[in-house]
Amino acid sequence: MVILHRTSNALKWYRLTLCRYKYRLNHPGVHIPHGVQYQTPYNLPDEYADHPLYPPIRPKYPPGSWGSMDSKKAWMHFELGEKYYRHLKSVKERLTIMAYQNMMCYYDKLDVEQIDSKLIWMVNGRPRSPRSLPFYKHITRTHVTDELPKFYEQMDVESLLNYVKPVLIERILANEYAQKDDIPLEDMYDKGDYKISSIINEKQLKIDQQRTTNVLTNMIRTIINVLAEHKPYLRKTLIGSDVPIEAWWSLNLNGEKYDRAKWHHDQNTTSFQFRDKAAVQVKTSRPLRSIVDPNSSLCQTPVPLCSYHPPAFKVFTDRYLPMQIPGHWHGEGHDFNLLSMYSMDSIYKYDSYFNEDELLPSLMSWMVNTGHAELLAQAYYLGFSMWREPTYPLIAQLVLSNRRQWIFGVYQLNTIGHFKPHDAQITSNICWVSPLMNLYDRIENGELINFNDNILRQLLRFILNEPIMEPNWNLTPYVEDLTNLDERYKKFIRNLYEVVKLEKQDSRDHHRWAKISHDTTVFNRRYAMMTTLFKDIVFDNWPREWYGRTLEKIERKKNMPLFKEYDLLMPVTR
Amino acid sequence: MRLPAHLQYLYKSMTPRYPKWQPGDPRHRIFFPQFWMRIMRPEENRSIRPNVVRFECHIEMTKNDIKQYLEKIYKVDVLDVTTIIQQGKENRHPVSSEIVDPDPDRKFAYAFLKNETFEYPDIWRGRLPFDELAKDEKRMASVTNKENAATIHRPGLSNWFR
Repeated sequence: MVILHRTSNALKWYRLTLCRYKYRLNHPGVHIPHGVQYQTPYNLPDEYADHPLYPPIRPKYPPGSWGSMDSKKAWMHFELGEKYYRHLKSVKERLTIMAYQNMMCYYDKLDVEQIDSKLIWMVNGRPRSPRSLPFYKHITRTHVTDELPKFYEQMDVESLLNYVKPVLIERILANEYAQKDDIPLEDMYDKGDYKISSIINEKQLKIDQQRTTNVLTNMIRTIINVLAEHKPYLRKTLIGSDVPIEAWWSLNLNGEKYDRAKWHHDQNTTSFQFRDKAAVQVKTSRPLRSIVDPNSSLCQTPVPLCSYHPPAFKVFTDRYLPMQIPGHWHGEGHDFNLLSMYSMDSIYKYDSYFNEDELLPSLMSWMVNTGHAELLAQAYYLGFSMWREPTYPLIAQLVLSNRRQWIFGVYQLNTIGHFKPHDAQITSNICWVSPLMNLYDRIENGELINFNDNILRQLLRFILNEPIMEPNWNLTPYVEDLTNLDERYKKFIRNLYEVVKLEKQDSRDHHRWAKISHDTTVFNRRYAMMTTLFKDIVFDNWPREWYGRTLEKIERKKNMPLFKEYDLLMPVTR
Repeated sequence: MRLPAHLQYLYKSMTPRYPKWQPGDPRHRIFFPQFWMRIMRPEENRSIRPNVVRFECHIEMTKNDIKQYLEKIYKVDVLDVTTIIQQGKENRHPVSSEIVDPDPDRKFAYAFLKNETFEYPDIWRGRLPFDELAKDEKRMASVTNKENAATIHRPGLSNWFR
């Protein structure tokens, strides 16, 4: 009886001569399910040592609080963050990697038709579903308080108010009366017998938003010009109108099952992208004073979970390149916000106005959304990220207005690591919102009826809230002071191609020419095949820069980790 | 009592065409439209908020129609309505793979109530009889489909004969 054991020569004979062609060892072109096998040398080296050296046993969880997250996953996240900060020194590089992480295709397949991001939940400032505040509180980890912080009331602005008020009224009226509506040509010659109401409403909304932007810009510019004489910090502010605000973050699912928009590093997280425009934004280069200590009991209370899917709140997915834009481009300076104003004319659109009672909660969730988004993007620009929490709280002062109605809000961002599970997250963000107030009831005969001074007072207090001019801590602790940033970034982009080029740097598929089918381009497939087949010749004769990465890997016999497309273990710059 | 030849539930039967309205036409006044709505169980793994009700409705009903239907007939205050049209399954011919007898498209509405909450009643006390029944039915259907497919070119010949 022949015993076909793994080590027996009978097996070799069987595999060479007798068995099916499929399993024959010398059969060339047919798929054999195992990879290339190298013969083990008969004389094994003596690897035993008298005093064995073991690697240190690492703890179950990495440093930090991870809650109920799986320990392996926690380590993965931790190492991801470590790598992110070890190899990517400048913010621009980190943002680039963040954007390319979410691409649908790999870098070697970048093609006009294939440049596509993965699905992301797209969030807008304006909520489109009634009573959606709990949802927005949950996805931004925010507590909402329905009155403004007390310290604003102690600021005395009476004399200033009397000085500024007539000028501002004049600005408002000038914008109401002097501005000519932009009537498109087709409307000018229209007979006017039938007009579709939805189109008319749409046009009217655009006109209103433009007007609001103009009025708010004029008011803010006036106030700042007046105050700048005595307040030096206002002389250096940056005022912009129609400013883009975008932010991306990933949120832990806490055991929910979403079938889409997962973040690819971790199946238990989704990602959100905020996209909106601020009507006016005032920026400074110094941070505002924090309002609540992040270690206080208010910030340490967890935000209640909202277990419903985003489509229940009319939040849907789209493909979009993840971006962080707090209103300015990186490197412009002026990294902190003093004031952001949004036009809220669109809250009265049919799909977001439901009831008089639902108006305030909707505006609150608008406030929560925008405040969180612009501060999140700002934190990324300052060098913080989901893996490195902000070391000091960031503050935003927000105003929503449609010229007549005004609502004020203050947002304090304490945490941005939303990818951790609910029980690990101890800190939460806070948002203070004032009641909705009317600046005036209506305009009659060139006068504002029932003009409300309190709104101007609050606006002045927001502007007079002076940032900390000489902070005694490092504002950007995770950003290194690099001199040759541009050159470095160019190098980085050039290396990005190298880093992301092959989606599987050295997988066992490269050793089997019959199995390499669809994962790479034709060139890479041929190249891997040929170099592998003739690797002895290649190693001996060809210069290293010719045979490249693939063979370097074979030489080192080092397997790359599998969960990522790009690899930052390889140093980005040499 | 004499019943019509093809007696079906209202929600399955064809309704008269809702006349198309175009800009410039006089406003429609329809007094008894054959609109219908029925409450549906929420989808699996998709819990909806307590004051949201899922309906299936006549496919030509607009959001406004749905709102008026609930407010005028049932006196229920509605804050918001969302609708989605689910495309019907296209049943294919087993041999020629052309589409035969496709299922109609269905419209589902999510009505957001102002004051009331609604939870779909637990009719079957936790055990759904549908699953096994549906599985059985599907199995039966697949078997008959296969048999039909095998003998489709020999109509009238019984299966056992071949």
